[in-house]
Amino acid sequence: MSIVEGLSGVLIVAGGFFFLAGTAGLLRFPDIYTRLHALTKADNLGLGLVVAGLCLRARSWAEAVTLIAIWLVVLLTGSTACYLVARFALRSGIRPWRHR
Amino acid sequence: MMPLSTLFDALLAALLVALAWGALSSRDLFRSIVLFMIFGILSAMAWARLDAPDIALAEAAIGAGLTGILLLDTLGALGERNRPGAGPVRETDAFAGWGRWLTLRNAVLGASVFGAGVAAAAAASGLTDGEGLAAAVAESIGEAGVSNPVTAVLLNFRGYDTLLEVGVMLLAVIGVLSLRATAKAPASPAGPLDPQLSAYGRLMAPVMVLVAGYLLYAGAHAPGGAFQAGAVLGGALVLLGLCGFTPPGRLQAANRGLLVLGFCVFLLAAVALTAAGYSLLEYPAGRAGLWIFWIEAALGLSTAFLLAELVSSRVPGGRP
Amino acid sequence: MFFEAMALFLMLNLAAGLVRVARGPTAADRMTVAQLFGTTGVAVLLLLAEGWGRPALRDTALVLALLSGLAVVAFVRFLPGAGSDPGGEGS
Repeated sequence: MSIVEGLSGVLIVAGGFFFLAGTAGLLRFPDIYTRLHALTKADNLGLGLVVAGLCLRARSWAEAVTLIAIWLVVLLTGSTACYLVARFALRSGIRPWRHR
Repeated sequence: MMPLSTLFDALLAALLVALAWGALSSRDLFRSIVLFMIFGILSAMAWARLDAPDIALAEAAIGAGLTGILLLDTLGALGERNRPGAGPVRETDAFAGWGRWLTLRNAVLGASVFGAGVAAAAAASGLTDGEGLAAAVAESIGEAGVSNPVTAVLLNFRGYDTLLEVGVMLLAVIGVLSLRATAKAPASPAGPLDPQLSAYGRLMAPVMVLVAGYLLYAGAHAPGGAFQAGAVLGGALVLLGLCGFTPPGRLQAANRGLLVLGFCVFLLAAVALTAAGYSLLEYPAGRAGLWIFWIEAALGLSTAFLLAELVSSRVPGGRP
Repeated sequence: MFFEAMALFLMLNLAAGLVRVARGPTAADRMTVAQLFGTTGVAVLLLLAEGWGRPALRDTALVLALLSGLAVVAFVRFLPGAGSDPGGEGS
Protein backbone atom coordinates (compact mmCIF):
# COMPACT_ATOMS: atom_id res chain seq x y z
CA MET A 1 0.00 0.00 0.00
CA SER A 2 1.51 3.28 -1.02
CA ILE A 3 1.80 6.27 1.24
CA VAL A 4 -0.98 8.12 -0.58
CA GLU A 5 -3.34 5.20 -0.21
CA GLY A 6 -2.50 4.84 3.45
CA LEU A 7 -3.00 8.53 4.11
CA SER A 8 -6.30 8.50 2.25
CA GLY A 9 -7.44 5.57 4.35
CA VAL A 10 -6.54 7.38 7.56
CA LEU A 11 -8.48 10.46 6.48
CA ILE A 12 -11.55 8.43 5.59
CA VAL A 13 -11.50 6.59 8.91
CA ALA A 14 -11.14 9.92 10.71
CA GLY A 15 -14.17 11.16 8.79
CA GLY A 16 -16.07 8.08 9.88
CA PHE A 17 -15.18 8.86 13.48
CA PHE A 18 -16.79 12.27 13.16
CA PHE A 19 -19.90 10.73 11.68
CA LEU A 20 -20.04 8.47 14.71
CA ALA A 21 -19.61 11.47 16.98
CA GLY A 22 -22.41 13.26 15.17
CA THR A 23 -24.79 10.35 15.64
CA ALA A 24 -23.78 9.89 19.25
CA GLY A 25 -24.47 13.56 19.88
CA LEU A 26 -27.79 13.34 18.10
CA LEU A 27 -28.86 10.56 20.40
CA ARG A 28 -27.43 11.71 23.70
CA PHE A 29 -27.54 15.49 23.82
CA PRO A 30 -30.31 17.01 25.88
CA ASP A 31 -32.07 19.40 23.52
CA ILE A 32 -32.53 20.37 19.88
CA TYR A 33 -29.89 23.08 19.88
CA THR A 34 -27.08 20.86 21.12
CA ARG A 35 -28.20 18.12 18.76
CA LEU A 36 -27.94 20.50 15.81
CA HIS A 37 -24.43 21.33 16.96
CA ALA A 38 -23.50 17.66 16.88
CA LEU A 39 -25.12 17.14 13.52
CA THR A 40 -23.19 19.89 11.79
CA LYS A 41 -19.94 18.31 12.92
CA ALA A 42 -20.84 15.28 10.86
CA ASP A 43 -21.63 17.55 7.93
CA ASN A 44 -18.48 19.64 8.01
CA LEU A 45 -15.71 17.50 9.40
CA GLY A 46 -17.07 14.06 8.73
CA LEU A 47 -17.81 14.57 5.08
CA GLY A 48 -14.84 16.93 4.69
CA LEU A 49 -12.35 14.31 5.84
CA VAL A 50 -13.98 11.62 3.71
CA VAL A 51 -13.83 13.92 0.68
CA ALA A 52 -10.21 14.79 1.45
CA GLY A 53 -9.34 11.12 1.60
CA LEU A 54 -11.14 10.44 -1.67
CA CYS A 55 -9.51 13.42 -3.36
CA LEU A 56 -6.10 11.91 -2.72
CA ARG A 57 -7.18 8.91 -4.75
CA ALA A 58 -8.87 10.91 -7.49
CA ARG A 59 -7.86 10.00 -10.98
CA SER A 60 -8.24 13.44 -12.48
CA TRP A 61 -8.60 17.05 -11.48
CA ALA A 62 -12.23 17.03 -12.61
CA GLU A 63 -12.98 14.26 -10.17
CA ALA A 64 -11.32 16.06 -7.28
CA VAL A 65 -13.13 19.29 -8.09
CA THR A 66 -16.45 17.42 -8.20
CA LEU A 67 -15.78 15.94 -4.78
CA ILE A 68 -14.89 19.29 -3.29
CA ALA A 69 -17.94 20.89 -4.90
CA ILE A 70 -20.15 18.26 -3.26
CA TRP A 71 -18.57 19.02 0.08
CA LEU A 72 -19.11 22.76 -0.36
CA VAL A 73 -22.77 22.21 -1.24
CA VAL A 74 -23.28 20.08 1.86
CA LEU A 75 -21.40 22.65 3.96
CA LEU A 76 -23.61 25.49 2.79
CA THR A 77 -26.78 23.46 3.06
CA GLY A 78 -25.91 22.12 6.49
CA SER A 79 -25.13 25.47 8.03
CA THR A 80 -28.25 27.09 6.56
CA ALA A 81 -30.37 24.17 7.70
CA CYS A 82 -28.95 24.34 11.21
CA TYR A 83 -29.71 28.03 11.43
CA LEU A 84 -33.22 27.66 10.03
CA VAL A 85 -34.16 24.73 12.27
CA ALA A 86 -32.74 26.45 15.35
CA ARG A 87 -34.74 29.59 14.62
CA PHE A 88 -37.83 27.47 14.01
CA ALA A 89 -37.34 25.77 17.36
CA LEU A 90 -36.68 29.05 19.17
CA ARG A 91 -39.83 30.63 17.83
CA SER A 92 -41.81 27.52 18.66
CA GLY A 93 -40.94 28.26 22.24
CA ILE A 94 -38.39 25.57 22.96
CA ARG A 95 -35.98 26.85 25.57
CA PRO A 96 -32.30 25.88 25.45
CA TRP A 97 -31.31 23.30 28.03
CA ARG A 98 -29.72 24.56 31.19
CA HIS A 99 -27.39 22.50 33.30
CA ARG A 100 -28.92 21.91 36.69
CA MET B 1 -18.04 -14.42 7.90
CA MET B 2 -20.37 -13.19 5.18
CA PRO B 3 -18.88 -10.98 2.51
CA LEU B 4 -19.21 -7.31 3.30
CA SER B 5 -21.45 -6.50 0.38
CA THR B 6 -24.00 -9.05 1.58
CA LEU B 7 -23.99 -7.50 5.04
CA PHE B 8 -24.44 -4.10 3.48
CA ASP B 9 -27.34 -5.32 1.35
CA ALA B 10 -28.97 -7.04 4.30
CA LEU B 11 -28.75 -3.92 6.43
CA LEU B 12 -30.10 -1.76 3.61
CA ALA B 13 -33.01 -4.12 2.98
CA ALA B 14 -33.83 -4.37 6.69
CA LEU B 15 -33.75 -0.59 7.05
CA LEU B 16 -36.02 -0.12 4.04
CA VAL B 17 -38.61 -2.51 5.42
CA ALA B 18 -38.38 -1.00 8.91
CA LEU B 19 -38.79 2.52 7.54
CA ALA B 20 -41.79 1.55 5.43
CA TRP B 21 -43.39 -0.15 8.41
CA GLY B 22 -42.68 2.82 10.63
CA ALA B 23 -44.05 5.33 8.15
CA LEU B 24 -47.30 3.43 7.79
CA SER B 25 -47.82 2.58 11.44
CA SER B 26 -47.04 5.97 12.93
CA ARG B 27 -49.95 8.04 14.12
CA ASP B 28 -48.02 11.27 14.10
CA LEU B 29 -48.19 12.45 10.50
CA PHE B 30 -44.99 14.43 10.62
CA ARG B 31 -43.05 11.42 11.83
CA SER B 32 -44.51 9.43 8.95
CA ILE B 33 -43.35 12.07 6.51
CA VAL B 34 -39.81 12.17 7.86
CA LEU B 35 -39.62 8.38 7.73
CA PHE B 36 -40.90 8.46 4.17
CA MET B 37 -38.27 11.01 3.15
CA ILE B 38 -35.56 8.88 4.71
CA PHE B 39 -37.04 5.90 2.88
CA GLY B 40 -36.54 7.84 -0.35
CA ILE B 41 -32.87 8.47 0.45
CA LEU B 42 -32.27 4.80 1.17
CA SER B 43 -34.16 3.81 -1.95
CA ALA B 44 -31.74 5.90 -3.97
CA MET B 45 -28.93 3.95 -2.33
CA ALA B 46 -30.67 0.69 -3.12
CA TRP B 47 -30.91 1.65 -6.79
CA ALA B 48 -27.22 2.53 -6.72
CA ARG B 49 -26.49 -0.86 -5.23
CA LEU B 50 -28.58 -2.56 -7.93
CA ASP B 51 -26.38 -0.90 -10.55
CA ALA B 52 -29.11 1.40 -11.86
CA PRO B 53 -27.56 4.87 -11.61
CA ASP B 54 -30.17 6.56 -13.81
CA ILE B 55 -32.95 5.54 -11.45
CA ALA B 56 -30.78 6.36 -8.44
CA LEU B 57 -30.42 9.89 -9.79
CA ALA B 58 -34.15 10.22 -10.32
CA GLU B 59 -34.93 8.76 -6.90
CA ALA B 60 -32.50 11.11 -5.18
CA ALA B 61 -34.16 14.10 -6.81
CA ILE B 62 -37.79 13.01 -6.52
CA GLY B 63 -38.06 10.62 -3.62
CA ALA B 64 -35.61 12.30 -1.32
CA GLY B 65 -36.48 15.87 -2.24
CA LEU B 66 -39.62 16.77 -4.10
CA THR B 67 -41.99 14.15 -2.70
CA GLY B 68 -41.06 15.16 0.84
CA ILE B 69 -41.74 18.77 -0.02
CA LEU B 70 -45.14 17.94 -1.45
CA LEU B 71 -46.03 16.02 1.69
CA LEU B 72 -44.81 18.81 3.95
CA ASP B 73 -46.85 21.28 1.94
CA THR B 74 -49.96 19.16 2.41
CA LEU B 75 -49.23 18.71 6.09
CA GLY B 76 -48.90 22.43 6.55
CA ALA B 77 -52.28 23.00 4.97
CA LEU B 78 -53.90 20.30 7.09
CA GLY B 79 -52.34 21.53 10.29
CA GLU B 80 -53.61 25.03 9.87
CA ARG B 81 -57.12 23.96 9.19
CA ASN B 82 -57.31 21.64 12.17
CA ARG B 83 -55.25 23.03 15.00
CA PRO B 84 -52.92 25.91 14.34
CA GLY B 85 -49.61 25.44 16.05
CA ALA B 86 -49.95 21.73 16.67
CA GLY B 87 -49.08 18.92 14.35
CA PRO B 88 -51.97 16.91 12.96
CA VAL B 89 -52.34 13.38 14.21
CA ARG B 90 -54.46 10.86 12.45
CA GLU B 91 -56.92 8.78 14.37
CA THR B 92 -55.68 5.38 13.32
CA ASP B 93 -52.52 4.33 11.57
CA ALA B 94 -52.48 3.39 7.92
CA PHE B 95 -53.52 -0.18 8.66
CA ALA B 96 -57.04 0.83 9.61
CA GLY B 97 -58.82 -1.69 7.42
CA TRP B 98 -57.09 -4.94 8.30
CA GLY B 99 -55.03 -4.05 11.31
CA ARG B 100 -51.28 -4.20 11.34
CA TRP B 101 -50.56 -7.89 11.85
CA LEU B 102 -53.07 -9.08 9.30
CA THR B 103 -51.63 -6.58 6.83
CA LEU B 104 -48.14 -7.86 7.52
CA ARG B 105 -49.16 -11.46 7.01
CA ASN B 106 -50.99 -10.69 3.79
CA ALA B 107 -48.09 -8.59 2.52
CA VAL B 108 -45.57 -11.37 3.12
CA LEU B 109 -47.85 -13.96 1.50
CA GLY B 110 -48.60 -11.70 -1.44
CA ALA B 111 -44.95 -10.81 -2.02
CA SER B 112 -43.95 -14.49 -1.88
CA VAL B 113 -46.60 -15.50 -4.39
CA PHE B 114 -45.71 -12.63 -6.67
CA GLY B 115 -41.99 -13.34 -6.43
CA ALA B 116 -42.52 -17.01 -7.16
CA GLY B 117 -44.68 -16.13 -10.13
CA VAL B 118 -42.10 -13.76 -11.58
CA ALA B 119 -39.33 -16.32 -11.10
CA ALA B 120 -41.41 -18.99 -12.83
CA ALA B 121 -42.23 -16.70 -15.72
CA ALA B 122 -38.60 -15.72 -16.15
CA ALA B 123 -37.48 -19.34 -16.13
CA ALA B 124 -40.15 -20.32 -18.65
CA SER B 125 -39.23 -17.56 -21.09
CA GLY B 126 -35.53 -18.39 -21.04
CA LEU B 127 -34.30 -15.15 -19.50
CA THR B 128 -32.49 -16.95 -16.74
CA ASP B 129 -29.04 -15.52 -17.23
CA GLY B 130 -29.99 -12.25 -15.59
CA GLU B 131 -29.20 -10.25 -18.69
CA GLY B 132 -32.75 -9.44 -19.64
CA LEU B 133 -32.84 -7.40 -22.78
CA ALA B 134 -29.37 -5.93 -22.39
CA ALA B 135 -27.99 -8.05 -25.21
CA ALA B 136 -30.70 -6.97 -27.63
CA VAL B 137 -30.14 -3.31 -26.76
CA ALA B 138 -26.39 -3.66 -27.11
CA GLU B 139 -26.82 -5.00 -30.63
CA SER B 140 -28.81 -2.00 -31.82
CA ILE B 141 -27.10 0.72 -29.82
CA GLY B 142 -25.12 1.81 -32.86
CA GLU B 143 -28.20 3.18 -34.59
CA ALA B 144 -29.65 4.74 -31.49
CA GLY B 145 -27.83 8.05 -31.70
CA VAL B 146 -26.86 7.95 -28.03
CA SER B 147 -24.50 5.63 -26.22
CA ASN B 148 -26.32 5.42 -22.89
CA PRO B 149 -28.57 2.34 -23.22
CA VAL B 150 -31.20 3.71 -20.85
CA THR B 151 -31.64 6.89 -22.85
CA ALA B 152 -31.65 4.88 -26.05
CA VAL B 153 -34.51 2.73 -24.80
CA LEU B 154 -36.49 5.64 -23.36
CA LEU B 155 -36.17 8.07 -26.22
CA ASN B 156 -35.62 5.88 -29.24
CA PHE B 157 -36.51 2.21 -29.04
CA ARG B 158 -39.54 2.75 -26.79
CA GLY B 159 -40.12 6.43 -27.38
CA TYR B 160 -43.85 5.87 -27.67
CA ASP B 161 -44.07 4.84 -24.01
CA THR B 162 -42.22 7.95 -22.93
CA LEU B 163 -44.53 10.13 -24.99
CA LEU B 164 -47.56 8.71 -23.24
CA GLU B 165 -45.90 8.97 -19.82
CA VAL B 166 -45.26 12.66 -20.37
CA GLY B 167 -48.90 13.00 -21.38
CA VAL B 168 -49.98 11.35 -18.14
CA MET B 169 -47.81 13.73 -16.13
CA LEU B 170 -49.34 16.68 -17.95
CA LEU B 171 -52.84 15.40 -17.25
CA ALA B 172 -52.02 15.00 -13.56
CA VAL B 173 -50.83 18.59 -13.28
CA ILE B 174 -53.89 19.82 -15.17
CA GLY B 175 -55.97 17.99 -12.61
CA VAL B 176 -54.12 19.67 -9.76
CA LEU B 177 -54.47 23.08 -11.36
CA SER B 178 -58.18 22.66 -11.83
CA LEU B 179 -58.62 21.94 -8.12
CA ARG B 180 -56.71 24.96 -6.98
CA ALA B 181 -58.57 27.96 -5.64
CA THR B 182 -56.61 30.72 -7.33
CA ALA B 183 -55.54 30.69 -10.92
CA LYS B 184 -52.28 32.52 -10.77
CA ALA B 185 -49.17 32.46 -8.63
CA PRO B 186 -49.70 34.19 -5.27
CA ALA B 187 -48.12 37.54 -4.57
CA SER B 188 -44.95 37.75 -2.55
CA PRO B 189 -45.20 36.14 0.89
CA ALA B 190 -46.72 37.98 3.80
CA GLY B 191 -44.22 39.78 5.94
CA PRO B 192 -40.50 40.30 5.50
CA LEU B 193 -38.55 37.20 4.69
CA ASP B 194 -35.55 35.87 6.53
CA PRO B 195 -32.47 37.22 4.70
CA GLN B 196 -30.72 33.90 5.25
CA LEU B 197 -33.34 32.16 3.15
CA SER B 198 -33.03 34.52 0.22
CA ALA B 199 -29.23 34.35 0.36
CA TYR B 200 -29.39 30.56 0.33
CA GLY B 201 -31.79 30.58 -2.59
CA ARG B 202 -29.64 33.00 -4.50
CA LEU B 203 -26.59 30.79 -4.06
CA MET B 204 -28.10 27.37 -4.58
CA ALA B 205 -30.56 27.91 -7.41
CA PRO B 206 -27.91 28.72 -10.04
CA VAL B 207 -25.91 25.69 -8.92
CA MET B 208 -28.97 23.49 -9.37
CA VAL B 209 -29.66 24.94 -12.81
CA LEU B 210 -26.07 24.19 -13.78
CA VAL B 211 -26.32 20.62 -12.50
CA ALA B 212 -29.59 20.18 -14.38
CA GLY B 213 -27.96 21.33 -17.60
CA TYR B 214 -25.07 18.95 -17.00
CA LEU B 215 -27.41 16.01 -16.40
CA LEU B 216 -29.28 16.78 -19.62
CA TYR B 217 -26.07 16.90 -21.61
CA ALA B 218 -24.60 13.84 -19.91
CA GLY B 219 -27.72 11.77 -20.49
CA ALA B 220 -26.52 10.86 -23.94
CA HIS B 221 -23.42 9.00 -22.82
CA ALA B 222 -23.66 8.59 -19.04
CA PRO B 223 -26.42 8.24 -16.47
CA GLY B 224 -28.67 11.26 -16.60
CA GLY B 225 -31.24 12.48 -19.06
CA ALA B 226 -34.34 14.59 -19.41
CA PHE B 227 -36.24 13.41 -16.37
CA GLN B 228 -33.34 13.70 -13.94
CA ALA B 229 -32.45 17.14 -15.30
CA GLY B 230 -36.07 18.23 -15.09
CA ALA B 231 -36.34 17.05 -11.51
CA VAL B 232 -33.28 19.03 -10.40
CA LEU B 233 -34.39 22.10 -12.33
CA GLY B 234 -37.83 21.76 -10.76
CA GLY B 235 -36.11 21.69 -7.40
CA ALA B 236 -34.40 24.96 -8.27
CA LEU B 237 -37.75 26.53 -9.16
CA VAL B 238 -39.32 25.28 -5.94
CA LEU B 239 -36.36 26.60 -3.95
CA LEU B 240 -36.71 30.03 -5.48
CA GLY B 241 -40.40 30.05 -4.68
CA LEU B 242 -39.80 28.99 -1.09
CA CYS B 243 -37.13 31.61 -0.58
CA GLY B 244 -39.51 34.34 -1.51
CA PHE B 245 -38.60 35.11 -5.10
CA THR B 246 -41.59 35.66 -7.32
CA PRO B 247 -41.21 34.79 -10.97
CA PRO B 248 -41.08 37.75 -13.35
CA GLY B 249 -44.34 38.61 -15.05
CA ARG B 250 -43.30 37.30 -18.43
CA LEU B 251 -42.39 33.92 -16.98
CA GLN B 252 -45.76 33.72 -15.26
CA ALA B 253 -47.49 34.47 -18.54
CA ALA B 254 -45.45 31.82 -20.33
CA ASN B 255 -46.04 29.29 -17.57
CA ARG B 256 -48.86 27.41 -19.28
CA GLY B 257 -46.91 27.23 -22.50
CA LEU B 258 -43.90 25.81 -20.71
CA LEU B 259 -46.03 23.16 -19.03
CA VAL B 260 -47.19 21.73 -22.32
CA LEU B 261 -44.01 22.39 -24.27
CA GLY B 262 -42.39 19.00 -23.73
CA PHE B 263 -45.41 16.95 -24.65
CA CYS B 264 -46.17 19.11 -27.67
CA VAL B 265 -42.64 18.99 -29.01
CA PHE B 266 -42.54 15.22 -28.63
CA LEU B 267 -45.94 14.82 -30.23
CA LEU B 268 -45.07 17.15 -33.10
CA ALA B 269 -41.89 15.20 -33.70
CA ALA B 270 -43.87 11.96 -33.84
CA VAL B 271 -46.45 13.43 -36.21
CA ALA B 272 -43.81 15.01 -38.45
CA LEU B 273 -41.86 11.76 -38.67
CA THR B 274 -44.97 9.75 -39.48
CA ALA B 275 -46.00 12.28 -42.11
CA ALA B 276 -42.54 12.07 -43.67
CA GLY B 277 -42.95 8.36 -44.11
CA TYR B 278 -41.00 6.90 -41.17
CA SER B 279 -42.72 4.53 -38.77
CA LEU B 280 -43.77 5.82 -35.37
CA LEU B 281 -40.95 7.76 -33.71
CA GLU B 282 -38.27 6.30 -35.93
CA TYR B 283 -35.68 9.02 -36.31
CA PRO B 284 -33.90 9.68 -39.60
CA ALA B 285 -30.76 7.59 -39.86
CA GLY B 286 -27.67 9.36 -38.53
CA ARG B 287 -29.61 12.30 -37.10
CA ALA B 288 -31.17 10.43 -34.19
CA GLY B 289 -28.81 11.98 -31.65
CA LEU B 290 -29.82 15.50 -32.65
CA TRP B 291 -33.55 14.75 -32.52
CA ILE B 292 -33.17 13.06 -29.15
CA PHE B 293 -31.27 16.00 -27.72
CA TRP B 294 -33.87 18.60 -28.61
CA ILE B 295 -36.77 16.43 -27.53
CA GLU B 296 -34.98 15.80 -24.24
CA ALA B 297 -34.33 19.50 -23.74
CA ALA B 298 -38.01 20.31 -24.18
CA LEU B 299 -39.03 17.41 -21.93
CA GLY B 300 -36.61 18.45 -19.22
CA LEU B 301 -37.81 22.03 -19.23
CA SER B 302 -41.45 20.98 -19.10
CA THR B 303 -40.84 18.43 -16.37
CA ALA B 304 -39.25 21.10 -14.23
CA PHE B 305 -42.23 23.44 -14.51
CA LEU B 306 -44.72 20.61 -14.09
CA LEU B 307 -43.10 19.48 -10.87
CA ALA B 308 -42.78 23.04 -9.58
CA GLU B 309 -46.44 23.62 -10.30
CA LEU B 310 -47.40 20.82 -7.94
CA VAL B 311 -45.90 22.68 -4.99
CA SER B 312 -48.42 25.31 -4.20
CA SER B 313 -45.93 27.91 -3.00
CA ARG B 314 -48.42 28.69 -0.36
CA VAL B 315 -47.16 30.51 2.67
CA PRO B 316 -48.26 29.87 6.26
CA GLY B 317 -51.47 31.72 6.93
CA GLY B 318 -52.30 32.16 3.28
CA ARG B 319 -54.77 30.26 1.19
CA PRO B 320 -53.63 27.38 -1.07
CA MET C 1 -13.33 -3.92 0.57
CA PHE C 2 -12.24 -1.05 2.76
CA PHE C 3 -14.81 1.24 1.18
CA GLU C 4 -17.56 -1.27 1.68
CA ALA C 5 -16.58 -1.60 5.31
CA MET C 6 -16.74 2.16 5.79
CA ALA C 7 -20.07 2.29 3.96
CA LEU C 8 -21.42 -0.43 6.24
CA PHE C 9 -20.16 1.47 9.28
CA LEU C 10 -21.97 4.62 8.13
CA MET C 11 -25.17 2.66 7.51
CA LEU C 12 -25.02 1.34 11.05
CA ASN C 13 -24.74 4.95 12.17
CA LEU C 14 -27.90 5.70 10.25
CA ALA C 15 -29.74 2.78 11.84
CA ALA C 16 -28.79 4.18 15.24
CA GLY C 17 -30.00 7.64 14.23
CA LEU C 18 -33.51 6.29 13.69
CA VAL C 19 -33.91 6.18 17.45
CA ARG C 20 -34.13 9.95 17.40
CA VAL C 21 -37.07 9.81 15.01
CA ALA C 22 -38.90 7.54 17.40
CA ARG C 23 -38.07 9.50 20.54
CA GLY C 24 -37.27 13.10 19.58
CA PRO C 25 -40.00 15.07 21.21
CA THR C 26 -40.41 17.83 18.66
CA ALA C 27 -40.75 17.97 14.89
CA ALA C 28 -37.42 19.76 14.62
CA ASP C 29 -35.67 16.80 16.25
CA ARG C 30 -37.09 14.45 13.67
CA MET C 31 -36.14 16.75 10.83
CA THR C 32 -32.51 16.71 11.94
CA VAL C 33 -32.48 12.97 11.39
CA ALA C 34 -33.53 13.58 7.78
CA GLN C 35 -30.56 15.93 7.53
CA LEU C 36 -28.27 13.27 8.95
CA PHE C 37 -29.50 10.71 6.47
CA GLY C 38 -28.95 13.13 3.63
CA THR C 39 -25.35 13.91 4.53
CA THR C 40 -24.43 10.36 5.46
CA GLY C 41 -26.10 9.15 2.28
CA VAL C 42 -23.83 11.46 0.30
CA ALA C 43 -20.80 10.02 2.10
CA VAL C 44 -21.93 6.43 1.48
CA LEU C 45 -22.53 7.11 -2.21
CA LEU C 46 -19.09 8.72 -2.58
CA LEU C 47 -17.41 5.78 -0.86
CA LEU C 48 -19.27 3.28 -3.03
CA ALA C 49 -18.41 5.30 -6.15
CA GLU C 50 -14.75 4.83 -5.27
CA GLY C 51 -15.07 1.26 -4.12
CA TRP C 52 -17.03 -0.09 -7.08
CA GLY C 53 -15.54 2.29 -9.64
CA ARG C 54 -18.81 3.89 -10.70
CA PRO C 55 -18.35 7.62 -11.32
CA ALA C 56 -22.09 8.04 -11.90
CA LEU C 57 -22.66 7.63 -8.18
CA ARG C 58 -20.84 10.90 -7.61
CA ASP C 59 -23.49 12.65 -9.66
CA THR C 60 -26.13 10.92 -7.55
CA ALA C 61 -24.39 12.19 -4.41
CA LEU C 62 -24.40 15.72 -5.80
CA VAL C 63 -28.10 15.58 -6.59
CA LEU C 64 -28.85 14.16 -3.15
CA ALA C 65 -26.88 16.94 -1.46
CA LEU C 66 -28.74 19.62 -3.42
CA LEU C 67 -32.22 18.26 -2.89
CA SER C 68 -31.99 17.39 0.79
CA GLY C 69 -31.20 21.01 1.56
CA LEU C 70 -34.41 21.90 -0.22
CA ALA C 71 -36.37 19.63 2.12
CA VAL C 72 -35.26 21.54 5.21
CA VAL C 73 -36.20 24.87 3.64
CA ALA C 74 -39.63 23.43 2.90
CA PHE C 75 -39.87 22.25 6.50
CA VAL C 76 -39.39 25.69 7.98
CA ARG C 77 -41.59 27.38 5.41
CA PHE C 78 -44.57 25.09 5.33
CA LEU C 79 -45.08 24.05 8.90
CA PRO C 80 -47.29 26.40 10.88
CA GLY C 81 -46.53 27.57 14.38
CA ALA C 82 -43.36 29.47 13.60
CA GLY C 83 -43.50 31.95 10.74
CA SER C 84 -40.51 32.59 8.60
CA ASP C 85 -40.29 36.28 9.20
CA PRO C 86 -37.40 37.62 11.24
CA GLY C 87 -37.80 39.62 14.39
CA GLY C 88 -39.58 38.61 17.56
CA GLU C 89 -38.32 35.86 19.80
CA GLY C 90 -40.04 32.78 21.15
CA SER C 91 -41.73 33.23 24.49
